[in-house]
Amino acid sequence: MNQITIIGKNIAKNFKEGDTVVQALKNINLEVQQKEMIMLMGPSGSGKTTLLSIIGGILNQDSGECLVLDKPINSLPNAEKTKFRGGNIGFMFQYFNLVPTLTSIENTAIPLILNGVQRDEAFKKAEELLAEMGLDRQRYQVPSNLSGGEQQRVAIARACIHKPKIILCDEPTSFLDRERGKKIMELMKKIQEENSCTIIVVTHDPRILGFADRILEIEDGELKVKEHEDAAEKLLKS
Amino acid sequence: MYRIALKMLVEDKAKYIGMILSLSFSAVILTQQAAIFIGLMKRTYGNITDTPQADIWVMDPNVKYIDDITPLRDTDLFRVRSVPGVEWAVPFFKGTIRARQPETGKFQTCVYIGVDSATFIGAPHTMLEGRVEDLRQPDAIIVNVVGAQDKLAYDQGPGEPKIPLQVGDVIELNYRRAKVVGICDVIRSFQSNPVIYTTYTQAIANTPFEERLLSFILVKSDGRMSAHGLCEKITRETGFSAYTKEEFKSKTIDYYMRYTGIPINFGIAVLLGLLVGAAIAGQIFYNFTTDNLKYSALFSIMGASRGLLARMTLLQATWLGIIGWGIGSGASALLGYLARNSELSYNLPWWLFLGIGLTMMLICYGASLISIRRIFNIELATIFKQ
Repeated sequence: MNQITIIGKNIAKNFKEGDTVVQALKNINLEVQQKEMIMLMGPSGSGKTTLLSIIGGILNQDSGECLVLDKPINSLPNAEKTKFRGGNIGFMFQYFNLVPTLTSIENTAIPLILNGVQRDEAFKKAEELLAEMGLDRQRYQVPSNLSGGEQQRVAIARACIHKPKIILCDEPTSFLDRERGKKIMELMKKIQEENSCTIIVVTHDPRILGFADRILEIEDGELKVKEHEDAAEKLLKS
Repeated sequence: MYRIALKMLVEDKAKYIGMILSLSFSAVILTQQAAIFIGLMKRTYGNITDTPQADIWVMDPNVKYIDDITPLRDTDLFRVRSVPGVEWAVPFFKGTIRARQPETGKFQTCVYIGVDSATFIGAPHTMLEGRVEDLRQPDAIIVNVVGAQDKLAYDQGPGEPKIPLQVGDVIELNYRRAKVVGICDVIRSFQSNPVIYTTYTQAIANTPFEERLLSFILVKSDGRMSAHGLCEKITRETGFSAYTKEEFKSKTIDYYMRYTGIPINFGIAVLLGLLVGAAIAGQIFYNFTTDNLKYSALFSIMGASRGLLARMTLLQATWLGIIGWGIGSGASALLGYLARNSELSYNLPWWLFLGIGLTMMLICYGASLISIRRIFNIELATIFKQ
């Protein structure tokens, strides 16, 4: 039986905008299992990214509890939280966020270096991973010389090179065409299976829902319990 | 991560070059203003530097600096010689004299120095032409090269090159004949007037009669006590002021610092250079870190501690500071080299380089501390929006 990697209990988060308080998340309860791929859907401003940030330990909830790998991630001291995050969670961003002055290898190797791996060894592993992802010839290129799909593959390599137990993705396919988006998701699925990691994907993209084990919808800060038994069926309907 | 930090800095070429240039520019401003100031101050006590044989300068108690001369009696020399601890004491004349070019009739005020006729202590030690001993010839003078080539040179008229004063030439000093027997290289005088050396006896003879004509007494300690101790003893036993070379230099500088506007003018220029340099370099470095803020957030998300981010930023600041300082110092040194034969007083002691280096590092670290504060306060969650 799979372990539960993420537990959210009554998570709430408010943001102040001038004099008004916006309730971004209202009593979110969720459980995510190991080796599960979750798609988090919902309209803009519904709170998807806020929930992702809280799970990733980069935003504190106002109330409730968020346990990641049995740790109350947002109650950890800052230094410990940073270390925990660096070792256990990989991130992928909508805008890739590759460092523009660094090559693909350097961008990919950063999480390993931050986890204490020697530079040469980190670069060797990054080179191998990029080769696996079909980026062998692009390994010494800076992001500006890469296509959108290539940049996203480098971002995936960076998110998974240190074999994190959880990967959090924010709109990973939004800038990619159908074919490239599909390839990216296939790659993600492969990583999920090989590394037995949990993947949470925030997306608006209905084309990729077929890859999900579960689909969760957030609307107005509330998690609508629409745990589709058959995500592929949902995809076909959409 | 430190190599990555440096690569992020260096590979952002436009900003990198901008930061290096601005830091180099501020280093040049700071260095050259300070170098001119130091050079100018060194000129004020050039005679002391050019007289290395003497440990101690003895003078009337009213003397405030080397050009402020209250003469002593010739017999005072014997009083000083009688102080135990004095190995030797010799007379030294320093004054001004009007020189006249016989061919052109042009007058020029010169610094006039008379050194001990027997020992030549106080005479220039870098002779370009002739020998110090040639001062024993009748009416002999030695002229400094700067004066010989410019203010005492024979002026052929507008547009024509000046003919430098040469060994064998004759000029007039207070309407008396003076024959050039040597050309020497000494520190320029503060006013850049020519410096003329002769014997003490000759100098006295060429100067209008006064009861007292002895400007200074140069003293060598016999080594049984410190120079400073001997100064105190001379003062105690003769009533004259006695200073070591370094003390007399300091006294001279103190006078110029206190009674002329030079330090204020240069101080303002140096301060402006500092402010402009700090503002430009600080602003550009701050902009660089601000532009890279999202990558700092990214590294933090990926596990970089605050300490590591701070060290990466400090490393970038150190790199910039050292490169900017290096280029700026090199440019300043080149400027000094190019100006070596001009009237510009320019002196670059090692401690000035070091001081400017520390100042540059302070500018960079100041800017980086502001940047680090910004990095520490960044909202990590904003990375999802960028």
